[in-house]
Amino acid sequence: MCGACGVLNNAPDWVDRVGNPDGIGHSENLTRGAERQRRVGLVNLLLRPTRMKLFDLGNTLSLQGPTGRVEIVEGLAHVWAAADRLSPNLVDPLDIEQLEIIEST
Amino acid sequence: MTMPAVQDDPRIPVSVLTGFLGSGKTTLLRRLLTEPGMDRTAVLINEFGEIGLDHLLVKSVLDGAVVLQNGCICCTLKTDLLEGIAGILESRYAGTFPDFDRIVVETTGLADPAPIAQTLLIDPMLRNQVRLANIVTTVDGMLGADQLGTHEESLRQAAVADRLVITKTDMIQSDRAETLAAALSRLNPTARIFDVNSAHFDANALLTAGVTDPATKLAEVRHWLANTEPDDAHGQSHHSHGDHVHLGGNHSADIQSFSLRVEEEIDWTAFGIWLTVLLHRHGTKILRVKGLLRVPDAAGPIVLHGVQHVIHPPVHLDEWPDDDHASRIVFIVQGIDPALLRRSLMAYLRASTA
Repeated sequence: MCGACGVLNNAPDWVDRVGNPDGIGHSENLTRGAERQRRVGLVNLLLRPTRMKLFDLGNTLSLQGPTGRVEIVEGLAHVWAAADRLSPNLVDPLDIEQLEIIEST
Repeated sequence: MTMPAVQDDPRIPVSVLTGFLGSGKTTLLRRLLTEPGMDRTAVLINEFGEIGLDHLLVKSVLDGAVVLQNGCICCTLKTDLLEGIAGILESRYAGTFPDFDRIVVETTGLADPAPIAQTLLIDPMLRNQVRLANIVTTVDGMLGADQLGTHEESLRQAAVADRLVITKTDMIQSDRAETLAAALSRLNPTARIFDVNSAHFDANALLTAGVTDPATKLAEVRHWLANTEPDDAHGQSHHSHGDHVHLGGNHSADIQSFSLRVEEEIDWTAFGIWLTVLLHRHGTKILRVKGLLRVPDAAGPIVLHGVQHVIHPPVHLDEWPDDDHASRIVFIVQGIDPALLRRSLMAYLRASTA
């Protein structure tokens, strides 16, 4: 776990805009913290149908499962793997029921 | 032939040469290595069986060859490939291995090339020193149609390719080769198709000129788009369905390619998170994704491409390849409903702006 930055990955990921030399770049106004918070919100859009939630704790991130159990996660890929462990209801963007909940957002 | 240098990427390009058993991989490799400008090529060969015949063939052309000894590359590649590439890089730095400008990894005929791409793109040591160039797949001109229809390995190798090379075309009628090329184009519309016996056969375009090469990336994207324009009112086209390509057998039935068109600007972070979870859940069924995206706050269009679970670092284009500035994303999938995938993407992009 990278506790230093708390970004949803401790190494640059192709999605990263801030601080990623291989990324697509970003506007001057976008800070690392703002990018992290937005990512957490976007991840939660996908987690919501399975009653899970990702929390930004400043320099760490935690994923809460539907029963209240919590895992610390260190990157975007780890979010989905942790979600698989926390809930038998797997996050699936092609699941019709989950999709309908997202569509109703 | 002069191999154009990558202008702003010092990493060594690694091409993956794959293709079904007997489809002519080693024959093609042997020929490529005799082309002018190809002499500074290191070759990693996956040996399958007790006799390293392939190794001997290539060794006779090029001394700088290392054979991966542990059988099928599908299950052993991660350590073998890592050690193989790391070994020749270290030996080169130590001066005990000839200097080289590119690496070719030849797989076995039964290999799935996707884990190779994954190894090259994810390993922290390798990804700083090498970059994945093209996946080149040989297809037997005589037997290819049957193999594609009856062997899933063959079909997946063709579906993930950046370059498809039809071999043995000197042994078949030209219309048969054209029919096979048309079927391959429908299966994998973004791949460039080569006839190994054509007078215009271009080894450079085969191995290294691609979307990661600044000198050729614009032309490469133009080729993707030329074959994958959406053609219906829903911004979605189905360019190939396995049972339309007449490859025979059952394996082709659920592999298809389609392109999605999105007129609005695409939020990069939202798209990335959606694609990440899609690949986490369905990566083995998403054989390839290639896209040109219009992203806010980005200087020019962004090229996205990936193989199964793995997405390459995005590539910037300085200009649009044509007058159409909509985002276009091509998927080659196995057993996934294109309409459902589009619905999912659009729902998530809309929700992300709510």
